[in-house]
Amino acid sequence: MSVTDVPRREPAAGLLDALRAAVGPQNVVTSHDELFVYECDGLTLDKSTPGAVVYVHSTLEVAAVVKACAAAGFPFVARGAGTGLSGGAIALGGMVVIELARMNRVIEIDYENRVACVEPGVINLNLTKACSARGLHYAPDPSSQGSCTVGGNVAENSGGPHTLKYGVTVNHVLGLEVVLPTGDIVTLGGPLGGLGPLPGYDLVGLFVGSEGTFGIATKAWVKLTPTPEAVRTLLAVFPSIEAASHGVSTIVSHGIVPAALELIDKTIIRAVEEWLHLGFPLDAGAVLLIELDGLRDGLDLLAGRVMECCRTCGCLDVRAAKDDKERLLLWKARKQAFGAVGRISPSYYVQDGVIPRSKLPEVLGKIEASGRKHGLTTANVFHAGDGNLHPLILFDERVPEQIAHALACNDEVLSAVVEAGGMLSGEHGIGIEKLAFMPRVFGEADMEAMRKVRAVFDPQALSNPGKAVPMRACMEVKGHRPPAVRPPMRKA
Amino acid sequence: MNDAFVQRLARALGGENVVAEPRMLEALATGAVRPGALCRPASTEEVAEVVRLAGEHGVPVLPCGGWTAMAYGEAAPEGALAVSLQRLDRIVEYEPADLVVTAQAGMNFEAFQAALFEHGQTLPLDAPAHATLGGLVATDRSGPRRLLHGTLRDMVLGLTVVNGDGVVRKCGGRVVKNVTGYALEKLYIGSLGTLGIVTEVTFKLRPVPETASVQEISAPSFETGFNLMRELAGRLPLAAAVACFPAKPFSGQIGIEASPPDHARILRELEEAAARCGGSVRETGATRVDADEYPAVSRRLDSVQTAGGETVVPPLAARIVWPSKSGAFGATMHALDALAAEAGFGYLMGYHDFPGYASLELFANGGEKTPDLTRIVKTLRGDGLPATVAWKASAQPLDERAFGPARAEWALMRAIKQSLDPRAILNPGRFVEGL
Repeated sequence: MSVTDVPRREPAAGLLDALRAAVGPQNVVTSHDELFVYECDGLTLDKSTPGAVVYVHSTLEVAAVVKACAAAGFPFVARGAGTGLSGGAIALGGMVVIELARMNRVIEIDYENRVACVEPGVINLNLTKACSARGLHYAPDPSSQGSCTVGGNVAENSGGPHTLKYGVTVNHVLGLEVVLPTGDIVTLGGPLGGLGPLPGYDLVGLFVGSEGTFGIATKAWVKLTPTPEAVRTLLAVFPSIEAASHGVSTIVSHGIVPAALELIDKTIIRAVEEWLHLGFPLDAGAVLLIELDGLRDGLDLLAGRVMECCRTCGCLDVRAAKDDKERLLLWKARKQAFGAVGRISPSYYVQDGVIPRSKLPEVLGKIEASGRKHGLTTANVFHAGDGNLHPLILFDERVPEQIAHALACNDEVLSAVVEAGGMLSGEHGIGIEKLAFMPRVFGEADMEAMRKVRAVFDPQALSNPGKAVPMRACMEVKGHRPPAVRPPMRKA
Repeated sequence: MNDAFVQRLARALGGENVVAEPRMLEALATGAVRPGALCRPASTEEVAEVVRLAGEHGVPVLPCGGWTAMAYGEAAPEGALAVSLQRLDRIVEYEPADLVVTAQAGMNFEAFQAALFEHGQTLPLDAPAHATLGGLVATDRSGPRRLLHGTLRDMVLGLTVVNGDGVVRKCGGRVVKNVTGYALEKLYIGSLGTLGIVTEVTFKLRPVPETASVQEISAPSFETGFNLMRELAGRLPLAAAVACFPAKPFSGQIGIEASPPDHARILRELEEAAARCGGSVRETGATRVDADEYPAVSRRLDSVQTAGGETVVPPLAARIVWPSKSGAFGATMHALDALAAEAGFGYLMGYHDFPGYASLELFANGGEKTPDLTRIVKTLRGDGLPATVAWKASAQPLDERAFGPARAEWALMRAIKQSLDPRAILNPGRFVEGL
C-alpha cells in the first residue's frame, strides 16, 4: 500500500479548536515547519505530514484529545520516540499525531513484587536505570532502547537481542491503562494481572503488538527482572555464513538457550570495522555473538558446551570477552551495525522475517543467491537464536534498474521466509511496510477475525487506520510502495 | 435432543461417532455435566461441520477433552451437545531441532510429553496426565513451575480454531517470535472454549533439565518461613516456590531445575538461608532426572499445587484462587485462619510464585461442618480481592458468580465474544457473565 493511496484530509477549524481546548493552545502544533518533523518514523521511505500534532501530559488529556477526534470522525495516531521501523507512527492521510513523549514518569516501582508502573513516554533504558541499583532491569532491549519508549514497545511488541532468553515485550506486561478510540478509559489486566488468574480473555496479550489500532496505552504495569549475577560473552568466528548458521542450529538443538545469540556476516563486519575499528576479524565469513548469563557456578560448563557446538560446525576461533570493556565493544559493534551499513551503501532495504531455526542455513543461502542473481550485495545481522532475520539488501536508488532489482530481491527473500514456514515480522511490526504481504501468511478468514476484533475496540476505525492488518479483503499482493530515497539510519 | 439434528450429525460423522441414547449418556454424566448428546469428530473440518450444524439448530456446544476440568467455572448447560476432541490425538509436526511442536487438541498430555521426552524435550507445564492439550489451553492450566517457565501464554505460538460461526481460522505461527498481525491466539488461552474450539496447538518447548528436585523448607514461624521464601525467590532462579498453610509452624516447597553446578549452588544457598533462621531443608523429589524420572518430579510439584503436598485431606468442597502481592498475603491468611476456627471447617492455603497468587482449598470437616462458601467468597471479594472459584463440588451451594467481581474490561470481552461466536452457542453460561 502506498502512502499516496490514502486521501489526505485536513482537520477542520472546529477540531483544532477542540484540541486546543483539551490541552491548551501551546500544545497544539499546526505550523507546517514544525509538522515536518513528524512526517515519518524510523521507516524513512514513506512520508506523510500530520494534520496537527498534540502534546499530551496526562491520561485525561489523551482522553479529551481522542474524544475530540472521535466527535469529528478524524483519525489519529499515537507517537512515542518515532523509532519504529515499519511505519507504524506515520500519519497516513494527515492524521492527528498524539505525541506522548511528555508522559515520561516512572510512577511507581514496587521492588518487593518486581513491578513498575510507568507512563508510555518513559524511555526503555531509563526504566532499567531507575531500578538497576536494586539489582533489577527491564528485560526487553531493542537496539534503540536509548531512545525508544515503553509505550511504543507495547504498541509494537518489541523484541531485542536478550528476548531470546527473557521473552519479548508481551511477556513482561502485566496490565495497561488504555484510552479507547471512543475516548473511554479502561484498565486491562492491572497491577495484579500476570501474577495470577484474572478471569476473562487476555486483553493485555491482545493489545500488546496491536500497533496503536486498538487505542492508546497511557499507563503500563511491567515486570522487572533480577539482573543475572554473572555474564559470559563469546565471539565465535566462522569461515562462512553457512557454517555460522549451522552453529546456531546446533546450539539450539542441544537445548541451550543463551541470553542472546546474534549473527553478524562479513559485509557487516567490514562496514563496522571501517567505521569503528573494534578489531573484528576481517577474514571471517561470519561471527556469532553469544551471551550466556545466570548463576556463576554453571557458566563455565555452559560456555564449554557452546564452544564445542561451534567447533563441530567448523568454527575457526572462539573466545570469551576478557572483561566488561571488551564485552561492551562487542555489543557496540552489533548495535551500530545498521548505521555502519548506511556508510557503505546509498540505500538499503531491511526485512524482519522469522523462520524455524533449523532452516537458517537454507534460507540464508537463498537470500545470498537472490542478491547475486540481481547483482546486489546482501548483508545479515540478526537475532539468530530466535530465527529472526534482518537481511539488508544494499542498492543505489540513483540507478533505476537497481531499484527494480532490490524490490524483486526483497520479494524473493520474503518468499523464502514464507516457504520455510516463517512469518513476516519478528519484532518490527507490519505497519504500512509489510501490509501488502499479509495475505501470504494469513487467509481471508483469519484476517476477517482480526478486523472484527479491531472493530470491537475501534468501531469508527479512527485509531491509526491503515496499519497492521489490511482493512479490506482481497488486497493486491504485488501492490508496492515506492522504493528508498535514502537509507534509514535507525538501529534495529 | 432433536432427532433431525442427531441424524444430520450421524450422517456427517458416522453413526458410531454420535451418542444420543439416554442410557449411554447417563453413563457419561458427572455431577457437573449432563450432555444431551455426544459426538466425536475426527478432524478440524469435522469439528467445523459439527459447529455449523449446532448453530443451525440452535444447540449449545460443550467442547470436551479429558474431562479433567469439567467442574471448572459455572455449571455446564444441560442438554448441550458435548463435542469430544479425543479422536484428534496426533502430533501434526515436530522438528526437535527447532524445539517447536504442533499437535492436535485432543492429544492427551501424558502421551504428548512422552513423545517429547524421547527427544529430551518437554512442555514445562504441570498438568494432569489425562488432560488434553486443548483443555489445557482452554483453562489456561499451569502449575508451580510457572515461576521459571511462565504460563501457556508464554508457550503457545499458534492455534487452529473453529469459531462459533463454524469457520476454521488460524492465528499466530510456528516460529518462536512473531508480531505478524494481531495476537488472536492470546484470546483463546483461558477462554474456556467460549470463542472457539481449539483443534491444533503449536508450542515452544524446552529441553528436559539435567537436574531437577523438590525441596521442602521448614521454618519456626509463618513470618520467618514466608519471608525466607520471598527472599530466595527474589535472588535465585527457582523453578517453583509454594508456601503451604496451615502447616505447623511453616512448610514451603521449592522446585529446582538447573545444570548440576547451578543445582548444587541453589541447594547450598537454600540450606544456608534456612539454617540462618532456624529452619531446615529436606529433599522430597528426585535429583538426577532423565526422561523416566522427570514426570515424577512434575507430578510431585503438581500435587503441591492442588492439595498442599502430601497432606492427607477429607473431600474437597471448593478451590478459590486470586492474584496477590506477597506483602498482602499474610493478613488474608490470618483472617481466613480465624474464620476457619470460628466456623469449624478445614482449609489449605498456598501462596505461589513470590510474587504470584494465593489459593484456598476448603474441606468439609468430618462431613459435619460444610464451609459456607458464599460467605468466604464474599469476604474475599469484600476485601477487594479478585477471587475466582476455580472448582467446587456440585453439591456445594454458592450464591456468588464463580468469576467476579465484574471489571470494566468485560464489556470489551462481551463484544469480542459476539464477534467470534455470534450465536453464543459455545459453552454458554460457564464462563464470566455474558461470555
